[in-house]
Amino acid sequence: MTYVNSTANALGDFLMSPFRGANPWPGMLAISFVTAIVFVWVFKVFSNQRGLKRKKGRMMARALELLLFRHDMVVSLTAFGRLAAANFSYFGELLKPIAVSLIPALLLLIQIACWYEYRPFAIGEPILVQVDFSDDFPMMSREIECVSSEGLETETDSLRIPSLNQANWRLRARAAGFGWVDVKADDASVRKEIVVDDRLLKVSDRRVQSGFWDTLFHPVESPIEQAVPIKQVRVYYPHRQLFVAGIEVHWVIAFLVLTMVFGLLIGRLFKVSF
Amino acid sequence: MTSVTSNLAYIGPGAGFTFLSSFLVLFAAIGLLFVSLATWLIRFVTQWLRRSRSGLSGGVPCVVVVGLDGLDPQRLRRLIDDGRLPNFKALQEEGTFSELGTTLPPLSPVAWSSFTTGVNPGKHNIFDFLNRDLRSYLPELSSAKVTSTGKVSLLSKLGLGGPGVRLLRKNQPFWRVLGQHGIFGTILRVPITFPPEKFFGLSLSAMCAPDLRGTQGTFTMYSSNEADCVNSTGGTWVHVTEVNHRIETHLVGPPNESGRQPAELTLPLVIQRRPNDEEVVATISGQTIRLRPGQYSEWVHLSFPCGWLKRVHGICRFRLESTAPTFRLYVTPINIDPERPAMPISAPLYYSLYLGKLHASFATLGLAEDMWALNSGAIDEEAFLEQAYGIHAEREAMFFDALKRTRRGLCVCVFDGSDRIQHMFYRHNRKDHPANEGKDIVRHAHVIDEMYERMDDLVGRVRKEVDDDTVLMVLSDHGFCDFSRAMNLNVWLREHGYLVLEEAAATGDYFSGVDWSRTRAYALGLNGIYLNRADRESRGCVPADQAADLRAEIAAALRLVTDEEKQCRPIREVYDSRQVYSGAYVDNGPDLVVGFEKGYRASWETAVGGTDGPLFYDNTRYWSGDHCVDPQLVPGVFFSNHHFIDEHPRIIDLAPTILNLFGVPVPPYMDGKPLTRGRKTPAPVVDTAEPQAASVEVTA
Repeated sequence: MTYVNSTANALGDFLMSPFRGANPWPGMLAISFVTAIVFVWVFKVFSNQRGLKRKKGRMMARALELLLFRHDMVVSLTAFGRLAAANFSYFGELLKPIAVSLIPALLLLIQIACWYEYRPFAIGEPILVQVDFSDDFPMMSREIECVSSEGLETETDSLRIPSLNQANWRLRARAAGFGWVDVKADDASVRKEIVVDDRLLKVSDRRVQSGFWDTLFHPVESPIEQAVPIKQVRVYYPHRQLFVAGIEVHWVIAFLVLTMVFGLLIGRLFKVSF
Repeated sequence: MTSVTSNLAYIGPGAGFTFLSSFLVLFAAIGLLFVSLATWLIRFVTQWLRRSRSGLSGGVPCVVVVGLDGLDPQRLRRLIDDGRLPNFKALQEEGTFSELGTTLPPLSPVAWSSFTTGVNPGKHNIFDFLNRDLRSYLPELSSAKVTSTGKVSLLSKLGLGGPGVRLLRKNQPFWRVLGQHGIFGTILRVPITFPPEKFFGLSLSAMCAPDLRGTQGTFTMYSSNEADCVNSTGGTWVHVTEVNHRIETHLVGPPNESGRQPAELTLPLVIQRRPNDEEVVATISGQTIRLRPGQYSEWVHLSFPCGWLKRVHGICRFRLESTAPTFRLYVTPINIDPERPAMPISAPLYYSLYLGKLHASFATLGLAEDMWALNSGAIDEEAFLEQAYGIHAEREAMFFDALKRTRRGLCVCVFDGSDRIQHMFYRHNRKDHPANEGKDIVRHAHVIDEMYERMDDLVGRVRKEVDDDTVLMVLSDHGFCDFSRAMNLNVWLREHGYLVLEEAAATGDYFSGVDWSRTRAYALGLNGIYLNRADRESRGCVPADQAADLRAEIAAALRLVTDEEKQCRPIREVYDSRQVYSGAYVDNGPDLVVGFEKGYRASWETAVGGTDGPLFYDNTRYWSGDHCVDPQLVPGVFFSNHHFIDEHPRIIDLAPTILNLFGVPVPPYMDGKPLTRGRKTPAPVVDTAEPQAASVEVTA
């Protein structure tokens, strides 16, 4: 998984590196465009275009059947059944391209989320750091400490919640840059990156102990070692906001719409039938 | 990362589109079904009221009509007796088998128009395939007229304007009458239904629906042999040159309606050959098609850019005839694309879209089986048969689908492959047929009998689909006979002084060189002779009060004509249209209708106004069978699973019969009379030795 994440990170950084400006839209447009090209091509290569066209045609025909024979209730009802069957059959054509696209699409979405789900802290903003300890670690009786790098100021002592075996600190961003906090418990120490900037940068909201799914979904920082009594260190970054004509749009919606629009154009160019 | 986990279903735009369109269709269908259910009661009550007001009662629930164009009663009897047509025999035993009186002349457009309307040609205005322009005397299609403003407007420049099409067949089809009484109909491929008319039901046009070029079917033949490339009827021959295993040419499409040059829209066609490989790759309209010798491609979708915004869509099939020593590639006429029709070919318009989506593309051209290609040697008999049966299979698929969906009401489908195959293979009936000279007479000797067996199989499958309450009718519009001698009626008229040529004028087709001021009669089409009447034709010279005498004079003279070479009379009877037709359109038709003897037919030159050449000559073409003779000689057939007691049913009687079967009053304007249903007597006797005499449809 480490190798997969390293590769995906490198690819993500490479694609997004020209778009580290204050405006997140150029990056979103670019990544949507590239995604559309790649996935339309994958769809073309791995789908049965003739079969898809035929089955889509059948589905349309069954829908038209409802119109043509609307005077006959029995034909209309059975036509709906045939339409549902044609729809299933049409979905069936998707299985192969889905199987091929699934893992790359997942890795891509995870990478894009690193850039668009959260934004770095602005100077002066408060930062909440949450540390979850292992269940067998007696947090209340042990000394735990949070040390921050230059540019970050720890404002509070630890707030310990015994029922959750969790400790929290509040910090404040004082200068732009890639800062960190070191969380120390007994002899162990875990470092978590904290980004303070006003540009589009990749951020990691948590660093987690190794485990397949956790590692997959949080690829930016290497996993916490198993021997350390800390399960995860989480930094509550503010959500990134994308606006279209003053209306906030979630990045997933923006990405979906843009890839569909680009896909439609590229699909025509590639002569791909969806 | 919560967004990521919740959006994993999105796996790229391709799959996204598929999901979206799928759900869109599903939701639209649910909406439609909901509306349909919600309004069902209203529609049910409306239909019930309509039926009650019409006084409908006791009608049959469903009538199915299978038209098998050109099926001949004599051959049917022989094959039934030989035990080769078990399904026709079953129909004969359980219901009716008789000859069916055809129309005068016994041509498909005329006969099917009488079937459709229940009236004689004088009331439906179809007398032949061709009629003439009264101003120019030039032949024109009798069934439909393309109307164009002739002006280049901004709309046409944008590609948004287009020609209109007008149906010239008059009167109303009987399925419209049924629709007015709330009875639904599905009408597939009945001739002379282009452009389609709206009614309570569905229809798909057939005979006389044009190709994308506006003709009745123009194939394209590419040949590397320049000697091949002479223009022939129904086709364009294109000489191509191969450079580095590559041929660059173009395919001619529809006329350019945008008013710009070129006058015809074309698509580049690139053919790439591989050394030492018989397969060639053709690229056209953004598609790559692999072609092997002797194999048809599937339907290829073509898109001709026209104007700034419009594209005209068509479909065609390719067949690589040979690669060496001569490269020959045949392209079928470009059919109107049923999924994006350039002209309406169905009612409602989206019915052809439905059929195209359900069954894949299909031939939409009226005369889809390319007889001209075989006639001119572009394709061989094997290729023609494959094409004809392919088209037949497309129609079967549509018909059986329609049969399933039309649970109550009328379902009609006409299969015309039977006519085309008999036209092109009739020479095998006679070893001494002039068309056999230099041709193989063994390989396809049994094609026609085999075709009848295929039709029998079709009838068998239809019988399985219909229940006892459904009335099944199987019929043909005319029979068939030999065509071995051609007679040029215009030459006879010229020799007898009725048609006069200008001195030293160049003669040829389309009445070139005719001196209309002195011409009293001219022939056009397959059976018609027209008087050049002063009160009708633009340069007419025959006064109205002399017309009757002139008709009688020409008819009497024609009855005495003898083919000196064969020592026999080519003409059985000449009919005066004023005596055999009635109705408002009699004047539009020919003044005299020639009923030829078997073996004879009007020559190809006569059909298009040709005035020179021999009076009689042997027909040596593949087109060796025909039915343009006296209607007494070529009756059609009529089968039904119900017993009809009438001895001499006529095709004109079927419209009133079907109306009667549904309990719908027969409109008084109809010339046909409803056939009477009766109980089958236990021992049917059909004399197979002597065919029953069929009646010619003659209306007083």
